[in-house]
Amino acid sequence: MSALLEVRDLTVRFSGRGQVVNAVHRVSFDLAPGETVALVGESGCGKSTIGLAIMGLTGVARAGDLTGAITLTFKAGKRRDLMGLSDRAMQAVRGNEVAMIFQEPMSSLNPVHTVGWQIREAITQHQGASRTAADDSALGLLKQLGIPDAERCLRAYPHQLSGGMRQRVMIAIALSCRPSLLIADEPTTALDVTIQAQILELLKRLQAQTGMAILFITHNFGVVAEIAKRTMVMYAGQIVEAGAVSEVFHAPRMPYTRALLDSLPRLDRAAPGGRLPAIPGQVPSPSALPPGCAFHPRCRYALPGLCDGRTPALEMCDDRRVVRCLRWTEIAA
Amino acid sequence: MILTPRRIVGLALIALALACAALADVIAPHDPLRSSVAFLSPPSAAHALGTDELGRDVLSRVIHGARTSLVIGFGAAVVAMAIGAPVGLFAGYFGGRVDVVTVVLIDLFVSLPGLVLALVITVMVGPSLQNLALVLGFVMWPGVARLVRGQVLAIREATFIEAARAVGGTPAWIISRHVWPNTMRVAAAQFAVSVSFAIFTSSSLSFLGLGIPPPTPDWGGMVRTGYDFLAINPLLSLGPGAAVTVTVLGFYLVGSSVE
Repeated sequence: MSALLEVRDLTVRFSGRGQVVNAVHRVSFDLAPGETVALVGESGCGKSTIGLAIMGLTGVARAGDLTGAITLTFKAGKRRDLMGLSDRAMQAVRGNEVAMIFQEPMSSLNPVHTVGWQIREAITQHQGASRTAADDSALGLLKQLGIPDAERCLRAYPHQLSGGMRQRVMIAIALSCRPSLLIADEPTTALDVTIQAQILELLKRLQAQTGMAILFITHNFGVVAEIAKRTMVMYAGQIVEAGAVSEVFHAPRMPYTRALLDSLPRLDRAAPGGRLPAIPGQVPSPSALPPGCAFHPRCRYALPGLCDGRTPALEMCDDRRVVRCLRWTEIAA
Repeated sequence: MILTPRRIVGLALIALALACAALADVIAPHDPLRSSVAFLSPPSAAHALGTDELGRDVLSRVIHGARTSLVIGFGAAVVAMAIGAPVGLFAGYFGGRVDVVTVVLIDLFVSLPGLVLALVITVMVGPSLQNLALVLGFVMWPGVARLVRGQVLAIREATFIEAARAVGGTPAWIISRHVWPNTMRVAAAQFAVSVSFAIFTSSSLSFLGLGIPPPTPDWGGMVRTGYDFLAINPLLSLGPGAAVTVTVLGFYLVGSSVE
């Protein structure tokens, strides 16, 4: 079975004022139909940029600043590189083939229109549906999402709804044209924990019903474990480790993943001295990456003379696991 | 719209002007165009503000003058909006070179005093009701464009615009359905300010002799004629002058109450 989405050597650079920022550097991954993959990393590691790049919304215009290939299998069956599509063709892809939901359900809805209007407009953008037909499917969508009193919700303005409700509405808009891929960019970050759980359950249920794939972007490992089977960990614009969630979580190979997991509070493992271990130092500025491995200044396994000189490549450690570390074999042992 | 004292006063003054314009035939005690032999008569029961140099009732002319002023005011504001709003939306949304050129053009226009510009163009095209509305609209569009552009710059960065792109929205759809409705509040305020500016400026032009050709009742022109007879009956000038003040103030109060 061929992949739904194939990203190859995706590089995104933001240049301006004499500065070049490598937001995403040579990222490659596949996404199978119906699969959920979680993209994890700290703020500024480039995970959201990957989502925007797939949507063609990075805003990068200069030649050479956006390279690589993003091959998507369309619902009709043909495969196309999204990077080569015209603006107009891309508009037909957005919403229709790939949809996206954002972190801020508060500001993702237009304050001057009713919820029903916004869902209907999303539908009529792509389908020549009549107004009443679009209204009907909007109502159906909200009911499918388990929104109580869907009729009233359609007539409401965004400010009249709670954060969880608004995120449900965003999901309804995203799903209105039945995309085969949903990019969820931290969709639960702005919500409180009980609502987070409801939204995750909702996404899982909708995925089971529609068979869409989800690229789930988050910095929350708990959410990763909840929703995804496979995860990719990013650091400084690169994928540093990828594999099945259970394996990556239980036996992290890349010191960064390990440090991240160690810095999570856990009930079964009280931290010595009552303090959580933190990763020392700061995320390097993407415009001034350290030589060698980007993580070595903060890594407790770093060897002078090795990690600060050679740039590690992504290595396969077994058939489904990749890691970017020069010393992973020693560390794993 | 929340009714603040400022807006209530403004709306009341606008309502007064609109009522005069709409009901002029009913409430004006005399025909504004009919002259009589009672030239320059002082205020009396029959002529509350007296009569002018041709024996016409000044009060009736002031009431009918509201029509002229409001037609010019609204006409000019519509023209300014029709040019300025699309330019501002376009420049603000797309940015880049289009934006730079537009801003330079706007600054060029704004740096010229509106009255002088209107004066020069009116001399060229000749004064008439239609021309005055067009000329004043043309003078005012950069102000509208600048304001709308500023709003668009803030709105286009909002997440809901990105979300609109993410559902596959075309630029035309995003601008008309998502950006424009969010600028409308400020655009409406600017519309009211434009009406007040247009009435004020057209009255000024009339006062300078470039207004509506006689015998149509027109406030600016009436102030000018009355000026010659100030010693005999100051109400000849003060009546229409007060009408200009009240109308301009009404629109300005409402327009400036937003931000």
